[in-house]
Amino acid sequence: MSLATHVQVERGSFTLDVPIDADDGEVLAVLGPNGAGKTTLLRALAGLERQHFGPDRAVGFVFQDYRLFPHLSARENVAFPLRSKGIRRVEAGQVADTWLARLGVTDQAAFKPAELSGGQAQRVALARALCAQPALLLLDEPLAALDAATRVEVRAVLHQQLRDFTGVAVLVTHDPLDALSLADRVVVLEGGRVVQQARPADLVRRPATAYVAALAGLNLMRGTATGGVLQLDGGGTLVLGDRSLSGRALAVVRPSAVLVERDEPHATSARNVYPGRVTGLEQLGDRVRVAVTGPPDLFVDVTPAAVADLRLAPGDQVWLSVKATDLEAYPEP
Amino acid sequence: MTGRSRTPWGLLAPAVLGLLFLVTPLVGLLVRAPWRRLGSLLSDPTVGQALRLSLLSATLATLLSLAVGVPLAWVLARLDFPGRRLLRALVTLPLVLPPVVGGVGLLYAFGRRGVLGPALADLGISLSFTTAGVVLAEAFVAMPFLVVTVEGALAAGDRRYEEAATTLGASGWTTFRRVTLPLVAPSIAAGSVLCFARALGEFGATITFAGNLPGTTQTMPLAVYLALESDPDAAIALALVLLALSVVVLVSLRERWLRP
Repeated sequence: MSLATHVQVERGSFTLDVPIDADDGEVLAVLGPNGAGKTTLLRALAGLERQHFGPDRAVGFVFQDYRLFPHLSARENVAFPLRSKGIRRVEAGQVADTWLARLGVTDQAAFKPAELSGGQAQRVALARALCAQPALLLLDEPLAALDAATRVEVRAVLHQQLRDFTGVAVLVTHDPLDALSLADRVVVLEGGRVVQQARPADLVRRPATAYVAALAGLNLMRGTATGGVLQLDGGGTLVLGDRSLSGRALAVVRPSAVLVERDEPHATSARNVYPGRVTGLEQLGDRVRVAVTGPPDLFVDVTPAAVADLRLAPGDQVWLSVKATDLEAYPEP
Repeated sequence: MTGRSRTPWGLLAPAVLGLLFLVTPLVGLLVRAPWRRLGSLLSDPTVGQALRLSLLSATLATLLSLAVGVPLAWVLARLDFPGRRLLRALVTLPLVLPPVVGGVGLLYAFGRRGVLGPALADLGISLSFTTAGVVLAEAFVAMPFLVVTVEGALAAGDRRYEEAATTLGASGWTTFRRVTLPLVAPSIAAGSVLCFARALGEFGATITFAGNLPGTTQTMPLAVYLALESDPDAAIALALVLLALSVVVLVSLRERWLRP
């Protein structure tokens, strides 16, 4: 049973209006900033929002805070949806045991939720959501409450389970890594509406909004293309490799592909050269991210050695150059 | 040192006075108790009769309160409807109402000349001046203790688990039985103990509605009051039994449910 529905929820001034469709076996990630309506969408799909008369069927719902029933053991928790269906205790217990084994928490079967670690609790919660074999599996930030090491481990478990799952899975997350690694398709929600919908590989190559570009770690520029030149909305122009593009368009460039220099470069093959001013520096792992205002405004990644050599500091004038071949330009969706 | 303030010593004298006031009657009971005759006084068949009747009627009143009081608490805590505040006030009224007023009310509701009296008589049911009447009188006065305790727990309780049960396909009834009820079980137990203790000590509503017939409606508190005129020693002996029962109730509450 595939999923095709249109979720509409109104709450005060906030409106959620999201068409959702997915095929069996597909994993849909819903990505978006806080307040975008991700959780509301999921609750509506589960029939928990009063305004939206969602499908009146059992779903598997995995909550960020696990929500294992505190008075029941892990096994009883997993058996709960089966017992609710009227399946007898012994049989439900046997099915629960196979699911506990599948998720690697057999040893914790008799434990009460308070005795489980976060990772174990989320595995049990996953077993509980899956054991009734729902047509729709809903996951609300399932890894958000876990510490970094446990998150890696549970993400791997989740990956395995989602691959084996035959129904439709909808995963809500604010972590791009979850969306990119677990989903077949990513729906980006901003302000209650879908702003982009794409396969993970396309999403990170061709982000449609500043939010997605930031998640992908890319500089995003917006403008109007004619004859291989992008006239930027914020002023300035960009020479593109692709001359065929015309109309509203977007262009992205990796911060590490932008070259920063003290003096205006003359002997350069780069087609795009413009002056800018440094507004900030931030250490990111083994690189330093330099914020430069142009136009266009760009982030530039350099090595700490380059910062020292160029003696870069906020307020400094610099020259940026970008090769046309490092620019990815595409029509605005 | 932080969190330390000057002690207002002026509060100490009235506090000690208050404590003495609460403890002295108990000391009086223990001092004046006819310890030597206690065995023979308590082996009087009327004492056993009154004690059995008290325990039986208080237990039945508690069960009756559980059967209708827990659902009532759920309605007050979980359903949103106009007039809920008024309803809550009505349910709490017996807590502050003089029990004798409750007894008169019961008499004119379920008594022979009460509103429902003729209808009950047609069914062959007579409640006033029967043990069933004692149970009703005790439940009327004691049930609010249970309702208020359980309603508080339900209102403060965590709805997230019920939501989780709903997503897992549990019906409303299954969710109530397997999730809501176990989560508020400690409060139901505490409320039941309070309810039982109040029912055990009930006097005003019982004597007004059910009368004072030995073996049928004469509970311990009634027996104490009556004995005070005929045989004060017996009254003290009976009072000691009630005191002992109260201590048991208090200890069970403290040890199991009211620990912070």
